[in-house]
Amino acid sequence: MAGGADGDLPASCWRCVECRGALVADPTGLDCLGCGRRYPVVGGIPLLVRNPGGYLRAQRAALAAAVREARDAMARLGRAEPHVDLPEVTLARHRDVLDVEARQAELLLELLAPADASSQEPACLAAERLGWSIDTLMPYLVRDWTGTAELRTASGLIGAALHLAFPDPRGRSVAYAGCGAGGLLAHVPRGFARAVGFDLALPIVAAARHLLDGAALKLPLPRTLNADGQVTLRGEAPGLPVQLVAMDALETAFPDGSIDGAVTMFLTDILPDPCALAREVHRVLKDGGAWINYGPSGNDLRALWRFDAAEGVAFFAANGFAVEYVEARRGTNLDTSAVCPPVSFRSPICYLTVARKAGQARPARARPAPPAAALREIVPVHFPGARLIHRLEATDGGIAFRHERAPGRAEEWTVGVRAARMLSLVDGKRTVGEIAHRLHRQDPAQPIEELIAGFERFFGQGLLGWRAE
Amino acid sequence: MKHFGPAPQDRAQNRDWAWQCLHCRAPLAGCATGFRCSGCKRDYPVVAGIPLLVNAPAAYLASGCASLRRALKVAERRCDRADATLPEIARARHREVAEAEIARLKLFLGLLGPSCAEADTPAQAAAGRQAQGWPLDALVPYLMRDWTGTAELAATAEQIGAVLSNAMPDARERSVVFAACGAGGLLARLGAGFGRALGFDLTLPVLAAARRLLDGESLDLPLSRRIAGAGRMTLSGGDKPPHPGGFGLVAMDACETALADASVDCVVTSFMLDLMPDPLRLAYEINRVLAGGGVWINYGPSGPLAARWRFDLEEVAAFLHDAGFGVIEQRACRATYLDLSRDLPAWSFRSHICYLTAARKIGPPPARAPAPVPPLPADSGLVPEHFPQAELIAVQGLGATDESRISFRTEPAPGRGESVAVGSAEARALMLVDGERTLAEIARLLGGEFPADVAGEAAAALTRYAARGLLRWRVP
Repeated sequence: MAGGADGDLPASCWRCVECRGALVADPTGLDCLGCGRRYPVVGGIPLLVRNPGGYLRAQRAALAAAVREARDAMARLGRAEPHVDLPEVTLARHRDVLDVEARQAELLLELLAPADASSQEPACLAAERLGWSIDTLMPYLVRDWTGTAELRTASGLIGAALHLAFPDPRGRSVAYAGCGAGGLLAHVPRGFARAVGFDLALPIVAAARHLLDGAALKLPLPRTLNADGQVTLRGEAPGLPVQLVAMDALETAFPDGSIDGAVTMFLTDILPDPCALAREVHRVLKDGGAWINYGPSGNDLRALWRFDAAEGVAFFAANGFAVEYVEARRGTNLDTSAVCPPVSFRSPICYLTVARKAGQARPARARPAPPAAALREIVPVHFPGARLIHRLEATDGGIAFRHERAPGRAEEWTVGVRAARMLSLVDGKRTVGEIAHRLHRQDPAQPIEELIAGFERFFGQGLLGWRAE
Repeated sequence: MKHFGPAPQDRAQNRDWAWQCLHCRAPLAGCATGFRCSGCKRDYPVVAGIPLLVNAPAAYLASGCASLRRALKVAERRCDRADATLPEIARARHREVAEAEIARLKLFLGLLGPSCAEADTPAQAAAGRQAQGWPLDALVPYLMRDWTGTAELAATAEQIGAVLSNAMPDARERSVVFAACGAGGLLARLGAGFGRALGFDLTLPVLAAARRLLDGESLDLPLSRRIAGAGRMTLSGGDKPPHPGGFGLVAMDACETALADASVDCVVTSFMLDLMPDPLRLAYEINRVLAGGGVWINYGPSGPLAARWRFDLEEVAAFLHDAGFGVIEQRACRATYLDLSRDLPAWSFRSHICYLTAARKIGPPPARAPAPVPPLPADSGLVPEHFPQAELIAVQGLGATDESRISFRTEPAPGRGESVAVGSAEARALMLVDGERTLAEIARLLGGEFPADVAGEAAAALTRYAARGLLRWRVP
C-alpha cells in the first residue's frame, strides 16, 4: 500500500480539528503540536477526524458486520423462510448477490491495514459520522474507474471550469470535497501543483488511494449485473501529487486561506446543512479562491435549499461568493450500464457553477455551545425526525441515531448502547443533570461527570439541541 | 352503511362486470348508492363515479379524505412559515410551491365532492385498516405522464400493445383489466380495442381525476412555476379513441379484487410487480380471476438486486411458472420512467431496463403452504429469531408535548419491509430475541423488568408477531 504522498506533507499543511494546532507527520500518523493528539494513517489515508480511534473502529466494525451478515444470510438460504419456496434460478441469484456482498466488504477490509493498538480503546459515549455506507458507494467505484462516459463528461466540465477560474494554474492547489471513489482526482487538469481529495467513507477512500497509486482492483459484481461476475478497476496515477485523507467536509483540517480551488460534485444537494459547507469552503479558500460546484438542484421542490441556476446564485452570494459562471445541462447519475447492463440510473439537470470567494462568509446560525458551568441546568431537546434505530438482527447490536433538522436531509451517527440510553431519555422536560443522575442510579459505574461531558459533545456535534430553563 | 353524497353518476360500464362481495363472495347487484351484496347485504358505495369495491369502504374513504386534509393543513402551515435566513428567491419558491400544493389538494378534494367532507370523521379514519394505495404525491407525476401526450406513454403503450395483440388477436370479443392502473393512461390507450375494459387502483383522488379524463373532460393541474412556467399543466385525453362502451374504473386492492372467478380474459400490470410486498399473492389473485387460457401481461423493471423476487426475463418466467402460468412472449428494453422533461425542463427522471412478459394461465396455482407458525403458549421452548434487517425505531419525542413512538420494522422477505407500532415492553421483548433464548426465558426476563401482566402481554405479543410472519422460530 502506497500513500507516500502523505508522508511528504509539509508540516504546515494540516491543522488539528480539535485545537487548530499545526500537525507534524511521520510515516504512521500525524501529531498535533498544540494538544498532542495523534491522527493515525491507515491504508495510506490520514484520519483527520475527531476521535480517529473510534472512527476507525466503527468503520472496520461496519465492514466486518457486512461480511458476517452476508455469510449468515447465505447459510440460511434455501433452508429457512422466506427463501424456501423460491425457484432455483432465484436462489442462485441470492447466493451470488450475498457472496459478492461479502467479498466486496472483505476486499475493502483488506485495504484498511491491520488495527493498531491505539484504535482498540473501549468505546466511550461517542457518536461517529462514518459517511455513506459501502453499498451506496460501490457504484461510484465502478463509475469512476471503468472509463465511463459519465465520469469523462463530469471531469471535462470540471476541468473546463477550473481552467476558467485559474487560466494559469501553476503553483495552485485544489481540494475535492466529498470525493468518494476519487475518479475526478485522476483527471486534475495539467499545471496544478497539488490536489487533495477527502471523504468520510474510509473504505472507499482507501480504494481510491490504491487506484490513484496506479494499481488495479478486481471488484466482484453480481452476475445479474455483469456476466463475468467481476470488473477490473484500472488505476491511473495522476500527473501531480494527490493526497487523500479521511475528513468531514464540514470540519476539515485545512488551515485558513490555504487552498486556491475547491471542487464539489453531487454534494450540496444532499448535505443536511449546505451553509455549513459554504462556511468551511470559504474559510479554507485563499482570497480570490474559487469554488466549483457541479450537481443537481435537489429533487424535492420543498427542500430548504435548492441549487438550480437562480437559487444557486443566491445561495453562493449569501455565503460570501460571487458567481462567475453557471451552466445547466442534463446529465446522468451513476450510469454504469456499460459495465452493468441492467442497471437503473437517474437523469437530472446538473448545474455547473464557478463562484469566487468575495466578501465575508455568513456566520453560523447555530448558538454557541452552552457554558460548561450551566450544563446541568440545560434541557436537551431532539431535532425533528430524531430516531434511534436498534438493529435487532445484528449480533453486535449496532445502533444508529438519525434526525432531519433540515427537511429531506437526514443526518446519521453510529452510537453505543450507553449513548442510546442518554438520547432516549431526552424528552424536552428533563435537564442534563436529571438525566445524568437517573442513568447513574441505574448504573453506578457510570460517573455523572462523564455523562454530562457526553451531553456536551452531543450538543457540539449537532445530535441534540438545547434550551435553558 | 352511510349514504355518501349525491346519487352516483350513471356508470353502466362499471356494471358490466361480474362483481362479488369481498366478505361473503356472493354476487353484487347495483343499487341507488352503488352496489349491494346479494348475500350479506353489505353496501359498496360509489364516490365521484368510482365504486369503492374494498374491504371496508367507509374507513377507506374516511382515511383517504383525512390524509388529503392533513396534507392541506401541512401545506398551509408551510405557506405561512418563511425561513428568514433564506435569500428572498428561496423564500418565494417555498411560498409558491406550497401554494401550488394547496391548489392541487383542493382540486382533488373537489373531485371527491361532498362525500369526502361527510366521510371525514376521525372515528371512521381511525377504524380504517384498509390499504390506501400510493400517496397522492407519488401518483401526480403519473397523471402528467398519462394525460399530456408524452412520448413515454406512447412508447409504453406501443410495446405492450404489440404483445397484447399477439396474445389476444380477437380482442373485440374479450375483456381486459388494468390492475393498479394509476392515472389510467394505458387503459385509455389500449383498452379501446377490447370488448370490455376496466381499470382499478387504490389511490382514490387519482382515480377520480382519471374518471373525468376518461370521460373526455380536461383538468388544469396546479404546479409550481419553478417546474412549470405556466404554473399549471392541462391534462386531457387529446385525440384518444373513445371506447364504444366506456371504460370501467373502480377502487380495488389488486390482491383482493371483487372480480368473480374466471371472469376476465386478460390482465395487464405495469410497474407494479417489483413493488408488491407479496407478488405471489397478486399472481394467485390474477390466476383466480382469469378465465382458462387467459393472459397476464406484465411490464416493468426488475426491482432491487437483493429483493426476494426479481423480475428480469429469467426470474419472471420461473415466478410465473410457480403461479400457474406459462410464458408465451418476453422482451426487454431500456426505457425512461416518468420522463416529463418535454414540458418540465428541470424534471429529473429514471432510466430502467423494463421487462415485458405475456403469460397464459395453464392451471390453478399450487396450494400455498399454510402459515408456518400457529399461536404458541408463552411457556414454549421454541426459540424466536429475527429476520435480517429487523429494526426497532424509536422516534424521539421532540419536546414537552410529544411522546416518543416505537415501531418494529422487519423484512420477512428482502426488500419488502413491514412495520408495526409497539409499546416499550414489547420493544424490550423484541430486543431480548437473540436467536438463542427460548420464549420461556424471554418471558422470565421480562417478568423481572415489568409488572406480571405487562410482561405476560409482551411475551404473548411475540407469538402474535410470529403468527403474522414478522418473526421466525426454530426448535432448539
